[in-house]
Amino acid sequence: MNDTDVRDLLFRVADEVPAAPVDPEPLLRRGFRRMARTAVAGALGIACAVVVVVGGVGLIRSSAPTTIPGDEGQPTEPPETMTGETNGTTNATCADSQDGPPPRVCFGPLDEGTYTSQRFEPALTFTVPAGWNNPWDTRGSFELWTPGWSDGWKDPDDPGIYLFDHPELTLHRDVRAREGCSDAVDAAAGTSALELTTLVSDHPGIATGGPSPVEIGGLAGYQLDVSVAKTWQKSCPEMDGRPFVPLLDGVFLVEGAGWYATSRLILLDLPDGGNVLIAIDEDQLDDAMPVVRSFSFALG
Amino acid sequence: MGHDRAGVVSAVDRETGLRSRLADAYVRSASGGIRLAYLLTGDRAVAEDLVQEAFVRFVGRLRFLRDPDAFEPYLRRTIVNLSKNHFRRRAVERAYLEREGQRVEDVSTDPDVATYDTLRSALLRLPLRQRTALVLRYFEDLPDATIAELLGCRQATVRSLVARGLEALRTTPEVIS
Repeated sequence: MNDTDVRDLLFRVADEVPAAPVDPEPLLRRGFRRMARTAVAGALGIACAVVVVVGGVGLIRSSAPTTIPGDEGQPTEPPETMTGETNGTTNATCADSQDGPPPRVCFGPLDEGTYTSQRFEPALTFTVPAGWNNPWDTRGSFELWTPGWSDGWKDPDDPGIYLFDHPELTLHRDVRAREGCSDAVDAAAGTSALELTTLVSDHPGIATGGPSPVEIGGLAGYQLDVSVAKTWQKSCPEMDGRPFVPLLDGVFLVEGAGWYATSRLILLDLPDGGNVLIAIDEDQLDDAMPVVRSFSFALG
Repeated sequence: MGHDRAGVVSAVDRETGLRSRLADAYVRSASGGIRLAYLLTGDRAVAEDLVQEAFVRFVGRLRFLRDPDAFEPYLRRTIVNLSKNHFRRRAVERAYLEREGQRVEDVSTDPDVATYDTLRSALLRLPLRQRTALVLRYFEDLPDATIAELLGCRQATVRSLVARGLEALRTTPEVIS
């Protein structure tokens, strides 16, 4: 039995499944029904989570807004310094490396140290303790995962953790406002840190304690903690009825346990007129903020 | 990539809508996914369930997909993982093996059909990792590096799994004769 025989055998066995025309509608109906059943089964857990979230938001609101000068929070004893500005490539496993070429550029798992992004502009220098991961680095986006990160689906075999966005500690540049289920660009909205911050804080679907001015790594802007407003009920089809708020490129909020609720947004103005958004998942603030305070952007 | 992922996702969303993206992905990939799952499980109903499960997982995550072209690898990996989980349920596996045992007793008297049935049974009796390695290499035409990543092992292990699987098929009595 040679390779061809094995291949023939496999295709013959596979052909036992008749090639019938595929109608997606039954699947979509079954899929959404199953998700609905899952949602009902998990209603109690979600209700508990909402109580916790509401309590957490209350605490956040009650605390004074934080101003973070760019030169504060720097490690007093910086660990070993490393740079990514070498040959622009790495053997690390990037977020979607299994998709084949083109090769992704990222650091992958990080030892304790100071690093400089390889693609993100403006170049970002940051300091992390051991255990962080850099799975994504492009001109427009940069991502860091906190140690022991989980995407909330609790299935280590699930490949989704490698393929999907998840707001841990992400940076996007030149973000624009988005609206509606189609994520259409809100052309009327401005793109300065102040204009975007105002848009977010005035959004009827957003609860926020209000923005506060910040300076991060040499860039000035605003920071605000956001969550889905309790009165907001609008959703989109794929969200299975969960309250959903599209906001900015790479940022949207979904109410419900196990879903994504980016809670801290930091919008910064670039000298060239663009902007940088730093988004941090609410569960990661304690780990992420020291890293954010270490940020330094290479500015002209 | 020449553009950031937020731009990619948003452009696709604007053009087609998330729901139609899922429908398109299903039309494009479901048949192939079911065939792959069938080779891994030997049970059409289970195969359809696994692919259904893979798509259901995808429904709530469309908005989070970095790269639309990543769907095929996502589906393949999910099917392999779900197959693995399926066989972890030992009771199900025992029932499956009992059914397969009954199938062998029903082998046709036609020599070609009998050989095929025996080989088919031999294939489906292979340990899951050996069968998965064979399927991914000869049916999906994947390189060893990708198979190793899917199975969570080294490339040398993949080659060993394939070699042992082939050896098991070659020593099937009908093949020897």
